[in-house]
Amino acid sequence: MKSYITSLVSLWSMAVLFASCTETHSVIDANEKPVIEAFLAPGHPVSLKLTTVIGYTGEESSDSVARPIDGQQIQIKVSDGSIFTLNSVGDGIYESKATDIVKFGLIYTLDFTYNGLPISATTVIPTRPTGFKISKDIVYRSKIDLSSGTGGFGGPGGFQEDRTPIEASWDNPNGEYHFVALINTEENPESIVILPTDTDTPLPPFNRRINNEPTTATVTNIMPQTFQYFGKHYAILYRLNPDYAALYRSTGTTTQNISTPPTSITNGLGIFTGVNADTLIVNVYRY
Amino acid sequence: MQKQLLLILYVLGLTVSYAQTPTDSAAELIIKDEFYNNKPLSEIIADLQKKYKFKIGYDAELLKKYKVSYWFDNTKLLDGIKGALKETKDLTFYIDETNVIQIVPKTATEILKTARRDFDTRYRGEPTRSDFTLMGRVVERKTSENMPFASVAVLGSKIGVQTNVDGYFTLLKVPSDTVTILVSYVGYKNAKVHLSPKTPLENFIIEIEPGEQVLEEVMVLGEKTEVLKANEIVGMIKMTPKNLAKLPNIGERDPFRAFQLMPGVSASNESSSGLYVRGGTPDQTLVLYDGFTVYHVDHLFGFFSAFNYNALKDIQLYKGGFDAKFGGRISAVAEITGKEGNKNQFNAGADLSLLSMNGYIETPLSKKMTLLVAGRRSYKGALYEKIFSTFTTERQTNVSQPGAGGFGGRPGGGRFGNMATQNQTAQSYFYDLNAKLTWNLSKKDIFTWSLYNGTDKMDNSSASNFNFGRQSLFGASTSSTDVSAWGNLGSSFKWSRRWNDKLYSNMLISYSNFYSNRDNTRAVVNTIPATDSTVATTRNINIGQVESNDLKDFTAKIDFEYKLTPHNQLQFGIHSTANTIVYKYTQNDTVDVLSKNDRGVITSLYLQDQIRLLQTRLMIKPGLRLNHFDVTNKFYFEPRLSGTYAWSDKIKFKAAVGRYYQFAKQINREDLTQGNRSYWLLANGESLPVTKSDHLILGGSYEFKEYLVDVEFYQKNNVGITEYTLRFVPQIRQGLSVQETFFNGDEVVRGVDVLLQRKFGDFNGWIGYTLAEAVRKVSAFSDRPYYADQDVRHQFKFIGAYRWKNIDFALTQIFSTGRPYTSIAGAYQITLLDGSVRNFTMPSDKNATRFSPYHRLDVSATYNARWGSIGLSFFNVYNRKNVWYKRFEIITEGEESVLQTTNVNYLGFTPNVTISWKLH
Repeated sequence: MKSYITSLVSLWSMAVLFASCTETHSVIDANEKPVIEAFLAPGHPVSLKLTTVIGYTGEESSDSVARPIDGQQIQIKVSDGSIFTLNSVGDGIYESKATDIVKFGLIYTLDFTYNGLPISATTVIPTRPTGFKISKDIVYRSKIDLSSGTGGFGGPGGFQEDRTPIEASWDNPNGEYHFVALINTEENPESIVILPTDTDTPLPPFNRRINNEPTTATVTNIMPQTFQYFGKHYAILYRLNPDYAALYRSTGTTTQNISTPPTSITNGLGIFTGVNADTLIVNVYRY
Repeated sequence: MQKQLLLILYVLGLTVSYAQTPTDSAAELIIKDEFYNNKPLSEIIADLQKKYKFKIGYDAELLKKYKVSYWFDNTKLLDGIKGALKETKDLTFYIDETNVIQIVPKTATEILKTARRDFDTRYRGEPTRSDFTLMGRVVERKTSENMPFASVAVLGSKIGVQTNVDGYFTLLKVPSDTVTILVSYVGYKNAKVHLSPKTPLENFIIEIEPGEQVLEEVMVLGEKTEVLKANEIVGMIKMTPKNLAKLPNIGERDPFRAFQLMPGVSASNESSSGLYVRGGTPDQTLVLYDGFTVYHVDHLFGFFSAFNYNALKDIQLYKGGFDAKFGGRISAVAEITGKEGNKNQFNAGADLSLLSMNGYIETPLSKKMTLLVAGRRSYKGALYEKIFSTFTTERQTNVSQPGAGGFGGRPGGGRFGNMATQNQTAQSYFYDLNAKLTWNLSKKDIFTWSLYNGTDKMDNSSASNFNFGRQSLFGASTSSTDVSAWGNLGSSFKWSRRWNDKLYSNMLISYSNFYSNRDNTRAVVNTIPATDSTVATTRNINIGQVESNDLKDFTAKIDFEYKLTPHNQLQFGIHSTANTIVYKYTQNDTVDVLSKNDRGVITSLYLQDQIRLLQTRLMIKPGLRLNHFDVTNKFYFEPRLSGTYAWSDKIKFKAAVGRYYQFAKQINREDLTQGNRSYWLLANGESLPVTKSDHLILGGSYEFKEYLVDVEFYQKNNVGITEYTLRFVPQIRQGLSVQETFFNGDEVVRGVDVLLQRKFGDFNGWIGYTLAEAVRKVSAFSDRPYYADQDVRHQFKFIGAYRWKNIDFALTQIFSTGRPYTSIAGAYQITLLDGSVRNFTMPSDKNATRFSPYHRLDVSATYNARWGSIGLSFFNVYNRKNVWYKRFEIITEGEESVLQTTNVNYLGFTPNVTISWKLH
């Protein structure tokens, strides 16, 4: 009985010691911040993705994952006085019903409470880009089959292969950020290159660079070789706010340079930004 | 054999200590009647000394073993000693230069040989001059090069000085012209010169020659203080680069890496060869090469320092508390003197290692002029590739592959070669060149011109060309440029003049330029051929970042040395430095992210007095340095005081206090993905304050037998230190302001350096231990103090060297507490508009985590021959995986994203061979 009391007392004192060691921080634990991903584009319903951060405990076998956050009451206030709510549809996705609520020139303010903290963010919808042109809208590519495992190099370049870049240009009198994305619209796109099945060799680093970055220039080039699928593509020119461009600033993933990109979200992470776009069509045909 | 040698050296040590009280006529003394019957020799000598008041040099322990019976009956002391020693068979004696009888074993042949030579060459007549001034120069025997900072002393007296940077010395009040002058210099044999009435009192040349001692090149000053009273400077380490060959090396014999083996200089930063001295950063160490400031000392990502040992003569490192002569840095000073070249004959040499080729020529151009040119260049061997790949693993952007249906990644398409020809030119090298021209115009004037140029270049560019058809009518090319280049160009012109026996001056003008550029852009050139309705057009588009830093330093200095009395020497001078520092960071051709163009002039006056008191036991150096910095238009006052006190021949105390300011600072970014890791900026007094540091150093040293123990405590209080980060950029817009990326605070550094050195013998070396902490308080990072990036709690170093015949073996073991780092609290992903996914990490508390301890063992063997040497080195023998940094990656498996941590390690086991050849 005596030993029982002794151990109880020592357990208690240890607990007290531990408790007194706990430090209190006035700053918000970064892990409590939600990650928001939302692009507001005119003519599209608002879609917002809400997840937790992937926590890091310092242990090698950390199995933290980004979990979707569902069931929040999320509102967006518009500078014209209107307010609309986003419905949680699962997997951390929240959507608006209407498709016509995003209009250029208006200011949109996100507002909700998560973990007892007010989360807010504000963005403005840019004007629609003008003068979007592409130098050609048809690209011919041959199918490349590397599955036989003969290595990375095909035959000599054929005369028929199209190598002239597509030049995309637009008006940009105010030096705003622009970005061209290419999206294949086929339901079952056919891959141009059939990769070797036994590919162990990683792609050389230069191949992994992002070809397109937001630019304040008025022109960018798209190489026909960058297409990976045959068929119809949308060439979308986005006009962007600077916070989107900030995502492309070199950000660190090593202990030498850990930093988060600047964000307009208070008490949260990620991006909540307005975009406006113009779309052209590029077709990739099999030669 | 080894025991005997130690014994000899011990005896030599005793000799030296007795030498201070000479008894001229002891040998002639008549001993009237003393009878000793089977008594230990030591007792006999002690009894005689007591009764007849003379000195004999001997080792009591050794002489105790010999029992002697001898009757002094109106015998001359010398004859008596001869007779007594005859009985022992093992012992003999000689009379040293101060006329003291020294009893040594017969096996001490070297000592006896020297003694005999001394005896033969000594002048035995009556002195003709007394209390005169002797002026001269210390030179190396083989090359006649002037030897800077060598000790020159009158044996058996308290008179001693140090040669100046040009090798000149002035001894005031030499007691007579029959005394012996002793010259000592690290890595060289002590030279004894006996004066005679014929000795010239001006332009007296003393020659010294290299010693055979292993590893003697690194020694703590004060080591030989029984003999020399000149070189007693707090916190100083001195090195002769020529003996670096005996330490393990990988590719290059690096003087800065050798300094890192001493306590107080951090040895665990493989990615920087800069000197992290006592909790300071490399930019806080002033590096002077022949008088001009070198701003960046790294080659090959910091694995090597920029200094070619073939071109160096002398390096002194002050770990703190340094003289008023030096300013503009708050931590330490490395003063490097380049070789002048052989004055006697043409000489050439070359080294070939697995990393680089190194060659030099030195030649007299005329009777009064010499030239030295040394150069080296890396080549792409296996060793170069290994180091290169170790330090460049992160040079890639971190973008996930897009999911199915997405678009964006994998541009260029060069891998699937039927599309285009792709040339990737991953090219990298470093080179440097040293040249020095010395002109001894007259016995009083020396002109020196020195040049240093070194560059590192890394080109990781790729290019694709698309030509359409044979005639190349249609065409386009894209090229990804990733070129980094950094380096130094520096030159100085110096005029040294000895005005008279008391006044010496050095006038110097110099230029130093550090440049660092990184061009990481993609240029797209698009040619559209002419058609019927249009003309051909070409467009150039650049996407990416360009970063450049260009620092220029124009300096003029005048330094004077004025000897007031033999024990009081004044040093004073004026320095003026004009800096222009340009830093530019540009994105996508047009946008200046950060742009700074700083100009500043620092003008300084200093005065220092070196005084010896209490029969030269106490040396104090009060000094003042007054700086004016035109950017802030303020005066900065730096009072300094250092001193040493010789409690006894073996125990010495030392102390220093002082204030130090720094005006140009380097912002250190350890991160390679961000381009060059550091750039220089000039303080502006507001967002970038002038850094102030107050030093306090207290220490002592104790010598016993062949060992030296040296302990120094230090504390530095720094105000206005600056850290750089992009973490807190508050606003989202195109440019950044300085205030948004630099954060200032205070720092306290304290610690203790302990050195135990075994100086002599076939086996020698040292153990160094440092206990230290560097605590910063920058409120932007944390409301609590945190450990600085360079903070290391314990650092232990063992350096051992053994000489066997013609082969030098060396071993170095380093153990160090891991450095602190900022870990992550978490990570997240954002899917971009083109469908690609980008990863982001969030920092946790600043430097709250530590890497695992750093340790490694290096060994080497060097075979020395007349024509040169062959060295074999093994770096990191047991292949310890020392962590450089950690990388965090988000791995997406199905629906789940998981964080993965990878350690990026420093260099593993690496062998190297170096072959050195020399003409003479």
